[in-house]
Amino acid sequence: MMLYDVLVIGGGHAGTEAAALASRYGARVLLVTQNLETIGQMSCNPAIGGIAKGTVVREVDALGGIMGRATDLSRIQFRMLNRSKGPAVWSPRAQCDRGLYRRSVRWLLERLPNIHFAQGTVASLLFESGPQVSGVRLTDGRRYQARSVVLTAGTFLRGRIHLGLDTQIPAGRAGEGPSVEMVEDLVNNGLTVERFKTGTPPRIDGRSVNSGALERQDGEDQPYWFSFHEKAPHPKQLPCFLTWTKPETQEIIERHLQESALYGGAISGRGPRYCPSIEDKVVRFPNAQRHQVFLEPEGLETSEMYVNGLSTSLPPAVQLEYLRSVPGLEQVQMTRPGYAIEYDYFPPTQLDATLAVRGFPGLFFAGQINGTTGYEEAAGQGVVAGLNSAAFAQEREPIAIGRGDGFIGVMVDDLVHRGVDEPYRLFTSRAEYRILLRQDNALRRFLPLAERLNLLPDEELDAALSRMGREDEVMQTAQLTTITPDEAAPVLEAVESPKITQSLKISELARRPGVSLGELFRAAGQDVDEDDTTWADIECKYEGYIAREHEMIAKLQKMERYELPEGLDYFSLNAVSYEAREKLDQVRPGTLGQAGRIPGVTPSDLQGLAIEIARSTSR
Amino acid sequence: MLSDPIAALATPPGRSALAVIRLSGEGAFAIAEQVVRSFRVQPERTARLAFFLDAEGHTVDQGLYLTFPSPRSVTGEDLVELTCHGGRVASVQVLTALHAAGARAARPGEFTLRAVLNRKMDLLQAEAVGDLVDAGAKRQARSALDQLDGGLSRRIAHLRDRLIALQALLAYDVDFPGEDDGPVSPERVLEAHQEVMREVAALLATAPAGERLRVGAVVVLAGPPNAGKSSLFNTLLGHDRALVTEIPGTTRDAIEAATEFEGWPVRLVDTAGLWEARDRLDRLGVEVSRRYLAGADLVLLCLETGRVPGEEERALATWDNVVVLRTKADHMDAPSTDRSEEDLPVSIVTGEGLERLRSVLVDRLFREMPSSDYEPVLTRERHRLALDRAHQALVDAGPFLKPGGDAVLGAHHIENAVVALDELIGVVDPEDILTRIFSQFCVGK
Repeated sequence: MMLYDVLVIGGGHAGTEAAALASRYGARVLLVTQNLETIGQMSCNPAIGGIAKGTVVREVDALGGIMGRATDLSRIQFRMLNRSKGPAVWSPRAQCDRGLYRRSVRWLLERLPNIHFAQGTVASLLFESGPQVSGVRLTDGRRYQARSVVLTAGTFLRGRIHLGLDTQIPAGRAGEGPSVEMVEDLVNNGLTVERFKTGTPPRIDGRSVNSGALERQDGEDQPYWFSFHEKAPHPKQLPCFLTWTKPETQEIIERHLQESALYGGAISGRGPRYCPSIEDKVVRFPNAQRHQVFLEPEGLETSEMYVNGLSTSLPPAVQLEYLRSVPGLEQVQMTRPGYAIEYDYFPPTQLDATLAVRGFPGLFFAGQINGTTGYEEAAGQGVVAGLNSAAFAQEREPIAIGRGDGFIGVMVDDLVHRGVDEPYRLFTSRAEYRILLRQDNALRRFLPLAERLNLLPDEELDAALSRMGREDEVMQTAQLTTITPDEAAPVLEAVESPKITQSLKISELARRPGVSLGELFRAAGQDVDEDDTTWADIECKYEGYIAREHEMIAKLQKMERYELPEGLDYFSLNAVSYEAREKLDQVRPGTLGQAGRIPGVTPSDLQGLAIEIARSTSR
Repeated sequence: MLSDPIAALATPPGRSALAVIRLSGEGAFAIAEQVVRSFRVQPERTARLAFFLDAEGHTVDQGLYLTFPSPRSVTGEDLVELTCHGGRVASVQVLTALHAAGARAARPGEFTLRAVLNRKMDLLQAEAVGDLVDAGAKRQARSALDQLDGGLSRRIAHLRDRLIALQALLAYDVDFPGEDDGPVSPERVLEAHQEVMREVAALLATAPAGERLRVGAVVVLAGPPNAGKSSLFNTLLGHDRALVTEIPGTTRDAIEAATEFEGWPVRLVDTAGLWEARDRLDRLGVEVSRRYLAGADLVLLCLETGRVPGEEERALATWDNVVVLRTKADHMDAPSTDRSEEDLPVSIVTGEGLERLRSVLVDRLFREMPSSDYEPVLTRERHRLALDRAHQALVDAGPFLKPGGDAVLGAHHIENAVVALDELIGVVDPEDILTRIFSQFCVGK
């Protein structure tokens, strides 16, 4: 029997990144999945990136993950969201060809050293010498041994699909079976499990859409690559279409509400507030006149479209009825109905900051089974679990990614110390230091770690360093080049910024809001590559703030130095509110800083805790 | 150890009918059992009559005691309150008996410190305990009582909620673009920003008067020799505190006395006349007078009715915080040409102008105070500095909240405002906490 360092269960966005990073960190990896054809499957909408998520894709890429490169290879439309806000929250988002994305993931994964694949369903985890995990047994009797195991089961754990009230199919994803035994094993071994729900909208045949009547949305022409690796050629670009529900749509849904799995009482789990089903929207905002519906292309080789905005658990016949009430969809053919899915997740407060399951050496969890939603969130966790499972298997130091390092660190810290009460999604406002944690500097933030852990082969490291070198050069040029009032005038006029009266360094003038560094260069007669100026431009604009956020990180790190005694009896602390005592007892934070990020723990509770630390150290 | 049993007199030492002793901490009831005959904890919060015994079991006094089991006590610990007879013998013997039974003598402020440590009150409330005990005027006491009751803490918490709501608007704008409802209107953001800024500014505006309320407003009587300053001083105090003669220059040093006008605390200061010094002692007196002038909240420039002001007096009269009084208004029919309209004629003989003077003083000193008695005010420099920082942060946020601004930078400044308020209610760095507690409550000396 083969002995692997790391065995990854699941081939979704968490599993593939975990396998990739474990391989890059020197481990022998086996990826076990129910169906090798669906490695890298996008089971919900065919898009990667978005608010905060786009930044995560670039962080994953900087460490050698595959999501960014797969997106560059398969994207059929690109937009930079929040372009009109501040550059700290610019968020790249791409529509992808679903099939091309999947194939790109597998292709990229197979090019990495020491990754092996096995198709099959895991029946149970194997344990050796107590809680130490030692491998898996498949339902067909095969056994694999491994020093560490990463479980990334997505929605497959006791998954149950609902189509209206009457149809319930035990499944992990449409057309694929659930995993049941393994959950029971883990629960019997003392882990807590809870239930969430999520949903998808129907898909339709694009040939039956009257797109001439709809608002067409094209992507941006500006070149953009998520990955630092290579400027891969993009496929042909496709438009999306925007339409709106009508009052009739609302009437149909209201009339059939009791047939919905959600409102008929068939589903009990909690779903995400920010991704509501159309039933939720109708019930919660009865006065809304209309709701947006985006028709997104599924790919280049099919006319099938994804109906973003109409996620549902109504019976298929009702879905077709309300679809046909939407302008442009009067004759529509539904190819696949939308459905709701209920699944098990393990409350992530049972994990430590390396995503290792506490009390089970060698076992790691990543992705949706930790109560998150979103491909990018799953990928970010895959990176952390992949690196740390490889570190564990090779007896190396654990690798912690903190809140000051990136959105990956913000997410992991939120998950393991705050826990979740609805499917967790990243937002920029979850980060304290979003002026620092930007999409344009992700490579800079993570390359030192990639270099230290030797994750990138020489030619990849050279590519990353040369990209940063070009950006640094732009910054130096901006600091050395002066621009005259006459040269600057048209640039300043265009954004209604006051004129200058004497020549200034370009880097100083670029501090002004709205004044683009690239345009200043062009006005001063310098030729620069737009893609290389973004970083310098933003650094100029945020100069003072960046310094202040670094100070704040230092202050936070000070709070992290105050350790809370391990066996602290929180219920004995009169100085802390009862609600906070319960939360603290449940989460058992390691430091005062972590305690402060637990919801329900207020500044005055922290004061109480701080006093307790002061008391115990003065004793 | 910060929970060992402590005991101390809660009333001032010396001759009195009754004295109150407090005993608090772990094991307080066991100690009381040794001193109070037939001591019982239950029923709690109920006065019972008992004999108090010394270490040998001899009765030293008879009095009342009440029990307050933890956490329902002022310190949050087990607490016993004993009322015994006052004077130098009985109360001291009872206290000695408690010490002999194992209770340590409490350090200054230690009961309040324990209340803070056990979260019975926050730092703002603890500050108010001292203010309430020190209060010399009704308004002072009421303000301290309101702060003790959590009035200021609640207002700060309310402002904090407002700031968080503003941040939520900005977060929606950044994190949820392209929703059904569309973007947040810039007007809504600006309105929320203006409103919270107004509220912060309103609370901040109470700071000068609030600090005056806590320490008493300094009102300095100044003017040439023999203008009747000391007579007015005595009249305003209601008793003879300063020596009054016909001889110019009788008052050589400054004399300060506390009083209240219409319930507001005032520290009235009589000073030596401002004149060419005749000798070294005069010179020192005049210097002291000038120092008081510089530190005064309000100066009453006393000029005898009919006197033409000298150069120095005219200069002084132009200061913002100077009120010109025409003293001895009963003495003569003054030629009306030598006094300005705003001058206030007063006479201690007829009482003319005194009522008016008092109300002018209160108005000038405390007019920024909220009209309602129960509106919170800032009474300390620490409060003012924190609110000042919050206000500045909101000013800094302004330009970024406008259309075409940068919501992230706006949110960054608003976060700074939240932090400033957090530090006011409760700091979160253990080192800061210790520094603050130890400096405030004289612990550990």
